[in-house]
Amino acid sequence: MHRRLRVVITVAAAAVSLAACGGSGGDNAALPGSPDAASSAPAPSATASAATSPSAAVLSSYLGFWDALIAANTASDPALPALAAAAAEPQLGKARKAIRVNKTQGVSLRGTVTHKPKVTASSPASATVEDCYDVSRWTPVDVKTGQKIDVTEANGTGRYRARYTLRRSGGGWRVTDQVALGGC
Amino acid sequence: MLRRLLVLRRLGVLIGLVAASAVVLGLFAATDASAGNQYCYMKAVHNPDNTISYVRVCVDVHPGEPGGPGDSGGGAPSCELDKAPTGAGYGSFYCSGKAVCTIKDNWVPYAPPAEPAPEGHEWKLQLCWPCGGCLGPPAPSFILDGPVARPLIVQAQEAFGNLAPPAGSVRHSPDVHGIVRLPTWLWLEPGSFAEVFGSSAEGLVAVAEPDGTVWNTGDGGSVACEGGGTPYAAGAQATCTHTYTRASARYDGTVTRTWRVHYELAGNVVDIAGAPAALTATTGWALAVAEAQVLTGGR
Repeated sequence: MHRRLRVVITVAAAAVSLAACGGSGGDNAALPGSPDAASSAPAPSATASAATSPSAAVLSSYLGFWDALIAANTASDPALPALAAAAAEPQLGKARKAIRVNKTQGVSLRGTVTHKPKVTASSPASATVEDCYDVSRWTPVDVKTGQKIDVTEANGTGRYRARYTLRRSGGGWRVTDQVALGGC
Repeated sequence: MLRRLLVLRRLGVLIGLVAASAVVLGLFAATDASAGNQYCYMKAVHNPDNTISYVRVCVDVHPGEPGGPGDSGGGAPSCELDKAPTGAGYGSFYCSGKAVCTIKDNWVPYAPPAEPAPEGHEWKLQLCWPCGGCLGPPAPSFILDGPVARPLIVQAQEAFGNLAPPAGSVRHSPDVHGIVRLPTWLWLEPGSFAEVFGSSAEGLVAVAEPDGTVWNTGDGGSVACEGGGTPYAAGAQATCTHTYTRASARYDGTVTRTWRVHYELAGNVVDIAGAPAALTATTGWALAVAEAQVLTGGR
C-alpha cells in the first residue's frame, strides 16, 4: 500500500494535467491505484521532494482516506480506526453508513479504486481536491460465500467526479466532506 | 451470450437426434416452446454512495433471442424456478444464483435492520431456498431495494425532448429600418434566450444554457454572436451587429439560437455518453433597409 501511495504522489506531482477529469480514456490504463500501474511504474525517486510540497501532502492524505475506506469496506468494519483517522464528520458518518448498509446485506466491496486527483485549493487550514475516481473494479462480494456479485454501475461507468474538502488535523489532513460533480 | 444460445440450440439438435433418431420438426417446436417463458433475477447496483442495492430484472426468453442484461440473463434461469415452493404468503419468485428467492413484506418474526435505508431505497426481507426443489427452511436476509430506473440515456432523451424553447423574439436597432452602411444592432429579447429545463419521469433534468446565436441577415450575410446580442441603449457596447450594403424593402433573415445542454440528478451534474448536448431553435424575422438620405428626406 505504501508503494502505491508513493507512486500516486509521484504521478500527481509530475503531471498535474493528468489529474484533469474527463481526459482521454487511455489515461485510465496508467492510473495510480491499479495494480498494473503500481507494478510497472518506475521507482518513486521523486518521493522525497514531492512529499515536501503542500499539495503532495494533501493528495497523500486524500488517497490515504481512500485506502482506509477500502480497508474498512473489505473488513465490513465501519469502526475501523484508520477510517476515523483519515476522515471527519460529516464524511466519516456517510462512509460508515454505507459500510453498515452493505454489511446488513452481507455484502462487502473489494478491489481497487483508481484516481485522477488534483488539489484545486489549499490554505493552511483547509484544502479541496477534485478527483475523477473509478469504482468499477471495486466490486461487491457475498461475505458468506466469498463469491463476487455481478453488479451494474448506477451511472453506467462507475467513474465519478467529486470535490472533497480536507481539513488540517495534527500533522496531516482529514477528509471532511464530498460534493458529487457527476460523471467523468 | 449469443454463443451460449447457439450452444443451447446445438444441444437441442443433439438431444433431438439422440431421442428420436430422426429430425422431426415438431421436436424443435417443443424444445422452443419450453424455453419461451419469463424469469426474473435480482441485479445488484453499485450506487454512487457506494452502497449496493438490488433491482428486480425480468427477462422474456424467446427462442433465438438474447435473454437480457447481465451474465445471469442467458438462455435459461440460473435456478430451478419451477420447483419454487407453493403456498400463500409468497410473492413471485426469482433466482439468486442457484437459490430460489422471494421477497416478503411481512418481517415477523425478523427484526428489521437498525440501519435506516438510504433515501429512495427501502429494506426488504428476502427469503431464499438454497436449492429450489430441496426446500427446507429458507434463509432470510435483508436487502436494499433500489428504484427501478430506466437507463440514463433513455431518461436523457426524454428530458431533452421536454425542453421547450420559447418563441424567439427578435429586436433590432434602428427599430423600423436598417440603414445602409450603418451597423444594425441585432438582439433577442432576453426572455426568449434564457435557461430552459426539461425533465424525465424519474427526475433527471436537462438544463439548456444559452450559448450563442447565428443570424442569417437575408442579404447573404451571416453573423455568429455570443449569447443573444445586446439590447440597444445609449452608451451600450454592441455584441451583435450587421452592416447592410444595399437597400431593400424587405430582407428575410433567420436567427438560430443554440443552447448547451447538460444533465443533472438531484442538483448534481451527470455525464451521459451519447446524450444530446445542444439544443437549437430557428426563428424567422424581416427588416427593411433604407439609404440614409432617403430616410432623412422622409422625416
